[in-house]
Amino acid sequence: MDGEALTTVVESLMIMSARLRKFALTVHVISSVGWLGAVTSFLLSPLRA
Amino acid sequence: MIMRLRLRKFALTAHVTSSIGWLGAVVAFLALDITAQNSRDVQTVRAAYLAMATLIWYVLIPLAVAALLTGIVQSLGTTWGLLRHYWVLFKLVLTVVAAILLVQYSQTVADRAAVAASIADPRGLPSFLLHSVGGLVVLLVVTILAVFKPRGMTRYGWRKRRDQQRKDEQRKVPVP
Repeated sequence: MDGEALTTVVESLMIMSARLRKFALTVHVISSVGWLGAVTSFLLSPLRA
Repeated sequence: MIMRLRLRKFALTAHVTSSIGWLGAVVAFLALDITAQNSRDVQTVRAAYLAMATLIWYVLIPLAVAALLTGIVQSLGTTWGLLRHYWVLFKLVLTVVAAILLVQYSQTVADRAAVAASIADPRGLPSFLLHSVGGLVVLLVVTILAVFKPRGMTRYGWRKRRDQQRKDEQRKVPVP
């Protein structure tokens, strides 16, 4: 097996299943965009203080 | 009324930012609530209640309204539609209920912040834990529905699809 073929095999083994991919996407979106919401809260919390 | 690709992407970005930003702000609110319940320092407890009142007016309600409006625009401007798929419909209902409860509850939070600011020792004021955890769970369910998009069309959705298929067949030009 040459290097290119080996890379293809390894890459195909590393691809997540559709369900796992959706789960990972959900966790990633919640944490990254949720972080944005928390930063907005931090930024605006001194407004009425 | 399908939106162009660029506009669709912009609307999607606005919707994801506002709806999941709302979720992040609820987590921040929850952190303040837990601090208010567990801190022994009077000033910290007072500051936490005042910050919660600010959060609900300046962050949570604006994000909730933005999430609702961008969601409606997003569904009406794409092939998903507002009432065609059960997951979109559930998302809409959950978002509307959560937004209404949030607006209703905002006065309670404001009142409690006013009490915390005026009394000597605000420790021991009731918690908002039930509402904030409930809101967090609802928003997590909404996010999961949006990512997984479970199958299932409403009756209206099936009717619309049949109408569309009929129109497409009528448009087909017979090949000589």
